[in-house]
Amino acid sequence: MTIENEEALLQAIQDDSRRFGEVYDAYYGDIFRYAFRRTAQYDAARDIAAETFLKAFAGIGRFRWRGVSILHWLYRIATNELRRYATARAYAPSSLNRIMEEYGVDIAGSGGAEEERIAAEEELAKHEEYRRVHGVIGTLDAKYQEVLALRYYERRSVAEIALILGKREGTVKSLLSRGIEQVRKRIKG
Amino acid sequence: MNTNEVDDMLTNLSTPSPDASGPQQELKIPLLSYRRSSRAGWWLLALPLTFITAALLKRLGTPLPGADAVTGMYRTIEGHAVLTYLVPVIFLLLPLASMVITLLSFVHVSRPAGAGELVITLKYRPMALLIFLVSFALLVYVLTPDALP
Repeated sequence: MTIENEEALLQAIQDDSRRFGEVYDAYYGDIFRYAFRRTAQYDAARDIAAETFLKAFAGIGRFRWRGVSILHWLYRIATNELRRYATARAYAPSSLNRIMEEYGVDIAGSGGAEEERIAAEEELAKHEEYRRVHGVIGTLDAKYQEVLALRYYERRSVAEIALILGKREGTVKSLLSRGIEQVRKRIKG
Repeated sequence: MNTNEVDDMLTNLSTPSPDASGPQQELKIPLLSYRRSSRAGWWLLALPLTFITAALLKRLGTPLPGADAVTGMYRTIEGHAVLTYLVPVIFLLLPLASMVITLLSFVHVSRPAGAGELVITLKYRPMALLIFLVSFALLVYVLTPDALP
């Protein structure tokens, strides 16, 4: 989806909220995989992705076009959810729980969910180097984890990371540099 | 290993890309229906509330601009040979449908296996509750003799 398309789609969503389905179809995979690479947990990634889109749908009316991609906005919401996930003793995706209760939806027990969980775990097992690096990055402060994950797991540019995290590009570069140094020390150690 | 080597290693890192199409499809319809039941309730109430509000304000002697047009429209419907059948639809069926839709959105009934009892849960949804009460008040008003304008 191009930036121009996104701007038109955003306008269309203001008139008909069902058009949000196009955002969902286009970006669910990106957000789910981001959450999966950050948590290395299928269930957590699924809940965080769902919560991200529920919050985005609830807040899309307040989203004003300023040339920032909808995907970057979704990354920002997902990053906030990941912070909650990292700090909460038991992560509770409130919007997801509500919608599951109201509509009787059970995404954990949906058709093929178990097969997908197994496939995701197999996919994880295939990436030994990633698991080693993820284990190291997971021990760093959240601010380093966020920039390193967006840069090296999601292949986002410094400018994009700055937009997603709401920081200056210089700050992001500095965090990346210090984050890499910390990874180096931990790998060495 | 120096920092450049770490940067290279991270840049070339192969990351997992699992499939998530199952939960994606499962969630899509409820996601897009989210908050719509409340909105549907308000739409069902819009017509009867407009008629009754206009009539009440006129009776109180403080008609709003356009109130005459609204009551005029109601008189036309009421006096028309065929459209007159719309009156019970507007004042009874629409509020009733609104009540049912909103009631379903905040009442949850379950029967735990082996418990021999029904568990009725009322979810705290202020908007749905408000629509339900407005619908109920409207029905009571309509069913009260001589209440209609």
